[in-house]
Amino acid sequence: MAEHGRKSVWGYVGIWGVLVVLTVATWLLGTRGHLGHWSLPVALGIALTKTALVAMFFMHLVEQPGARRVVFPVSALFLALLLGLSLVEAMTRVRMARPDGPKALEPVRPASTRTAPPGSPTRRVGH
Amino acid sequence: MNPSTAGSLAEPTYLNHETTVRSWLLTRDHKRIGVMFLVLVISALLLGGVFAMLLRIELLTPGPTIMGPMTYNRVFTLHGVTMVWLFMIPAIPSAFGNFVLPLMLGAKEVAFPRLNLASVYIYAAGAALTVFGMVWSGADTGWTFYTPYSTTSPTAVTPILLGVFIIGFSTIITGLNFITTTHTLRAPGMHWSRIPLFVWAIYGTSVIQVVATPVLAMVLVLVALERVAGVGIFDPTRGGDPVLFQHMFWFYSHPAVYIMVLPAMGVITEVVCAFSRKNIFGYRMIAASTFGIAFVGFFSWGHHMFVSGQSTFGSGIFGVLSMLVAIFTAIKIFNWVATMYGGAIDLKVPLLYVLGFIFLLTFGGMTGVAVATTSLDVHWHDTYFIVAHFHYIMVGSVLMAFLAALHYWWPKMFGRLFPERWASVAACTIIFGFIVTFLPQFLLGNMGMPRRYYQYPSEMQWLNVLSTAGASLLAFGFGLIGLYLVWSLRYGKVSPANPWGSRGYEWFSASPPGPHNFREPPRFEREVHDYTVSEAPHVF
Ligand code: HEM
Ligand SMILES: [Cu+2]
Repeated sequence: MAEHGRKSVWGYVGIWGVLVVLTVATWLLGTRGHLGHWSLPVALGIALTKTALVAMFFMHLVEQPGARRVVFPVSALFLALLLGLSLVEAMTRVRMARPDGPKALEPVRPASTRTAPPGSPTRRVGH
Repeated sequence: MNPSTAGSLAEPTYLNHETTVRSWLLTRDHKRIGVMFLVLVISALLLGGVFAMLLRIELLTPGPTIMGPMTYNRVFTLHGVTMVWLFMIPAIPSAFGNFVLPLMLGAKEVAFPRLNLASVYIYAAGAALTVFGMVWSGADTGWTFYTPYSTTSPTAVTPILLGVFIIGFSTIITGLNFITTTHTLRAPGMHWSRIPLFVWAIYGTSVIQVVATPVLAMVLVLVALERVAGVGIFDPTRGGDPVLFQHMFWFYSHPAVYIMVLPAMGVITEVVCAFSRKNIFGYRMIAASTFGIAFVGFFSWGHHMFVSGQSTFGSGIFGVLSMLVAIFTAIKIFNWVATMYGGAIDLKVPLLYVLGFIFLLTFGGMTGVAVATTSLDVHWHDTYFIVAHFHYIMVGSVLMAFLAALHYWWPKMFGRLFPERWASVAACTIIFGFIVTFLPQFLLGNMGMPRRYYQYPSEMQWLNVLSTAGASLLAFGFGLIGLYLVWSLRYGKVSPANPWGSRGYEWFSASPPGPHNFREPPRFEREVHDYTVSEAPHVF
């Protein structure tokens, strides 16, 4: 990190500025941007950057070599493990229990209707 | 100081330098905290044991015996919750870890003594809330709280979830404390390559505790939220994914089985050395395999979900990764056996438990590899085969190691010897009773008896009767241990400072140790368990 060891108030204000810019970027992405498949990864990337900035500077982790070199990477590794393997599993699942079979996948319908309660018009069991 | 009085019993010990109740309740002495934890976890063991006996009595006959089906569901839940969350996870680290880890490092205290005291009270509060939930209306979800049932069950799941959540904090605090203590409070001469293997085991466990427990806390809170506020995270009728619960739950709970087993392995390592009069074979490999197990243990949680609707691809990956754990476990087993080989074996009570441990761990581990094979697990999943697998490995190892530790460190903790003859009888009863209880369950499971059912076809009765008979033997063995240990507190022979002639570093302190562990800071000038030197020169 370029700002290593920065202590002055202006440093914090600068970081705050960066956070505001990133927030605005997220908002623009959600309302104007048309990134399609990429919108989720980009939004998550921005969120991660913001998290790292807050943790490093506002929580002063940048001044803690132990945290920076060991705790941070290890936590990131395990988080990646949990989220990664769970996501891989969810993405490769054969949806036997899906009400309308594997043909109609997410993009067609809003996620909120994915598993409608039995008896509702969007749920057809066994055609 | 006059050397001839060194180690005499007139010295104040941590037990008698202050005796008020207040001095115990507000103590910051890791030894007293260890003793408090010991009392608490043994109470949990008793409670869980009573539930276990009720279950086994119910299963004596194919139909209803002493309770109704709903009660049965609650009793097995209470048994599992108490045993797993209140006994097996905290037992060895919180009781024995607290007591001997600082002694082994030559430290006066743990790094954060007040936090250590807090962890006792947090544990007690969590346990109280859990027991309150049980008394209030029980829970019928099993110890795993699987959704969506746990989010809809009308029983008192919420207080029990919160109780377990609170106990998690105690676990995290204890883990942090041990990690910091190991890093910062080692006595002169204690290099990383001299750290006793029990400490390495506790250290590895602490890392898992700190990394994994927050995930458990999170998932328990989410279930509680779903119950209380109706948030749709796991319940499919609200748009949730029940398999997600299983991912998050087992991401903690698979490593949690190593939270239970690694400290047990640490105890076994110490006891094997002390009673074979040899240094451990392959110190580095044992320490390294601890971390191998801890690390790989995080990659295998999906083997609990083979029939959950998880993707076949996911199951394949998790099955293969699970088998890696067996390699590291085997390293340890071979090293213990190699340590005993050619040693001057002294078959005292703690070593009896070690033999039980090695047998049960090997057998349980091999059935683990079997159930990690996806095709076989489809047949065995949720049958008594699984119950037998995890009792063999988990209960077999934690209980054996707990009893080994209790007997090995009893003179250190209380300055008294227990009656060796009675203790050997109890040890043989326990090991034999254990095998009689759980071996038939492999057969039952293979015949297709589902777990958590309270009725079964009458062809299965004889195996169930055998299992109950074994459980009665176990209960008898425990009764015996309780009797002679309590007896020895008062009437047992006063123990010399190092009754086993062990070279473990913790025996450098008096037995029982003084309030500050050592009169002068010890210097560790030899390897731990180095039997080429004559007896530890003097007690510090
Ligand atoms: C080190 C000690 C181990 C402990 C303490 C342990 C503990 C457990 C527990 C508690 C369960 C049952 C969970 C439940 O559903 O209530 C279980 C199931 C299982 N274990 Fe182990 N285990 C150990 C080692 C292993 C190893 C080495 C393997 C694989 C190589 C393995 C594979 C499995 C599998 C596949 C299941 C799930 C079976 C099923 O539910 O169908 N275990 N184990
Ligand atoms: Cu597992």
